[in-house]
Amino acid sequence: MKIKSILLFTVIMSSFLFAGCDEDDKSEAKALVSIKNDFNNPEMTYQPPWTICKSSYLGQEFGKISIGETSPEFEVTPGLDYVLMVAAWEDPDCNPENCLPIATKLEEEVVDGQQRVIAINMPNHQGSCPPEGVAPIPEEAYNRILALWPEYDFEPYETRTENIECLPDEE
Amino acid sequence: MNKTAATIFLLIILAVGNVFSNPPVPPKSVKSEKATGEKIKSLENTKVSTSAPSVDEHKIRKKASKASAGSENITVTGKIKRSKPAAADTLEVKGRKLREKPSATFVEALASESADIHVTSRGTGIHGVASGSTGGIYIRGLGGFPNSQILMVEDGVPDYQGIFGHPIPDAYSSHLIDSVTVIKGGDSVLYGTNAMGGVIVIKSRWLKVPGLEVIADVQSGTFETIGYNLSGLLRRGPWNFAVFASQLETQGHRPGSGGSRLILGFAARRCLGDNTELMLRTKAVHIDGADPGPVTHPTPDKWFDVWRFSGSFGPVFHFRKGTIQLVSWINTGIHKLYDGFHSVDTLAGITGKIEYNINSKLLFTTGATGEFVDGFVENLIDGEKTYPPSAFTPSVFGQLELKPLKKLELTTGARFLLDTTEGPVFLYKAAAGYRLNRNFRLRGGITRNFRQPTIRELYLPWPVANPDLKPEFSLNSSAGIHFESAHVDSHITVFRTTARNLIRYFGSWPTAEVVNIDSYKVDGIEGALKLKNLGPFSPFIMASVQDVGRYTKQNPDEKLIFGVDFKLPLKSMTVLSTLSGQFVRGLYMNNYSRDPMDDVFFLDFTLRLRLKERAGYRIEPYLNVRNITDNRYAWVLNYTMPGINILAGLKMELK
Repeated sequence: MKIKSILLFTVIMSSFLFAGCDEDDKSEAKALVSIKNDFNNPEMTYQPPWTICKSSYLGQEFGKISIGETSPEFEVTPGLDYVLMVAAWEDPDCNPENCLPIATKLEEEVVDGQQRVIAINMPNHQGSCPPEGVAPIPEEAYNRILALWPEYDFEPYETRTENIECLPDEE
Repeated sequence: MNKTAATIFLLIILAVGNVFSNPPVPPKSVKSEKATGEKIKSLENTKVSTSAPSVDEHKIRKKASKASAGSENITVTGKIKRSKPAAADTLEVKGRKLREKPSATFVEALASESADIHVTSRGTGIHGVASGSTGGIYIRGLGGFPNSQILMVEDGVPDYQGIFGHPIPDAYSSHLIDSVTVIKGGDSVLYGTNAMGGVIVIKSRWLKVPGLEVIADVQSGTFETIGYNLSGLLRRGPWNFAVFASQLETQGHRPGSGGSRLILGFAARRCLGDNTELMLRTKAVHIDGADPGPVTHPTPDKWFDVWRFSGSFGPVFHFRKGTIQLVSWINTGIHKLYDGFHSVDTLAGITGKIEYNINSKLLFTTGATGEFVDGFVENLIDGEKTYPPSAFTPSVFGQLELKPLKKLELTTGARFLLDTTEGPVFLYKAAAGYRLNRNFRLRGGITRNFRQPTIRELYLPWPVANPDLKPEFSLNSSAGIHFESAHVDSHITVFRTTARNLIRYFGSWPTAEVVNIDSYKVDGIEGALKLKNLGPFSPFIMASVQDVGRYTKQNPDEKLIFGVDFKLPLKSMTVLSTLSGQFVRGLYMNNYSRDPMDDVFFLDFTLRLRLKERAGYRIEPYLNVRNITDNRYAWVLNYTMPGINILAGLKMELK
């Protein structure tokens, strides 16, 4: 009788713990993400004319995104990361001399099953030689951009303010 | 210490417990049918265990049919305390024990009683509200900032801020508390919303026998800390009164870390005949202070000022097989911040509950609750007021505690409620306990809990709101083995905390969003070993190891609590002392293991000289020394805790 009771109890205990396993045990988590070029957001006091020429988030490239447009939706592995970008100032054609590395101000997060549009706008970016009020891009994010798109031949982090687009326009 | 090693360590704790065990201690059971007259007399006011699982102490009248010495009928009237249900996954702490701890606040004292409870702190007594506040309570990985996944229940009444949905950690003082029960893994079946990760049930003090008791406790210490605590309890005839005042003022160890806390309370209970009581409780709390900011960028001008008022009223009817209780309550608060924020929130409700002993093996509890939340916010700078919609949640609940076999206890229950956004919600729980022998007990349980979205999350755009949000749900399970003997008290519990539909903020203004999306899982193991009655020294050690996944924000991986109690009765006094410490590893300032923080280690010491009672009064001087190794540690990044600091006090008790 005692052994039976203990066995019964063990079964009950095990069932409690196994019942605690729910649908969270998913091995292939995914999220759907698109990126919006929100630099023309009218709620801001200033709309910087950045065209996003290249973009990448959590290892997925999102391509070129013109001002006011939204990229196609891509599947990504959920996580936390900066949106890394190359953006061209007042140049919808993305000529390299007008381009600079920029990133989102904060690391953006998506979780399993989420469908999210990440908006890139004035308060949500940081750059190499930003206008006043924009934070400088972290070195780690800057170097990742250089590695992703070496064809732009950007200056190293230490001399990032010497990128052509950072230099004052010639009179 | 890696996790495997920690697990082995916890297993060793239990094995050591077994080695130190004494021969089985006979249970304090009552066999009144065969008791002698002398034995029956001794039953009065004796704690005994009953076969039925359950809730609280209750009055019984028992008729002994035959005494062995004779055959006359003898009636015994007394109080029976039910034993702790074998299925319960709870921590019970006496108020006195909390009061005698060197911890600066009530919630910190609670966190030093179990390794799976973690509380953040920033100084010597004030946790604060809004930015820079601490007092986040994590129980088995759930909770934290804000504390809306942990529910405080004070004298049967849920206690939280109506707009933000979290308790105010500064609103409690150990000096007013009779006992605290922490229900680990939560219990939304009995307590409703927010009881997701855990419930902290606070029971305030009453005088248990007729008479008068006045306790005054004054304390002073480092950082110009001054505390006054006064409680008066009176029981006379059908009346029972409790009055209390608790005040703490401190300058803090750096600018902005000081503040003050005032708690005033009054309670009255009146017996109406043999079977009915009326109960009234009121409480007022005032907290003011500031956010000191990180040490690198101090912000001592970010002040806050909070007033909270609460009251509850209702009758309790005792009948032969149980009780019927009706409680109505209201809890309102006024919060003001340095930036012009002003809010007034109200929480009100009514609960009717019946506890019915169907027989000695079956206790049925059922009831209904209606809870109302309302409030408004105002910007004192521009005068703009926002009146979000209020919410009313009706629910019914039931719980059955049964004992199908002599050593097996089962508990099951369910709550059904109507949520404003989700519609019908069904919550449930089940637990089982098995007493292997007089020393060992096995238990396990599962519970489905929930948290309703707060008014802020639904309607207030800081930085965004979403009126379509639905409740969060958790499914918590645990299993454990407990060992208790005359000299050893130990247990090991494995637990799994899962949650889904979590309400999360993404992005930043003006494109932020708040949605129900995330899920969460924590696996862990927790244990304790306490040795007792082995002479003047009683060592204890508690440990917890958990895998919190990416939810690492101030949610540590490992916690170790250790120490030794010392008690030495002398002719004129009893010397009481405790040396205790904590070691916490795996602390991060953010999720995804970002911004790792240094391990926390500190030692505290307390010494009390409890002088013998003379002419109805007793004096007890005491000394608390915190952080005696003067470590520079922090629970919150750059909110460094004070170095070594001292609090000396004098407790005077008049009976």
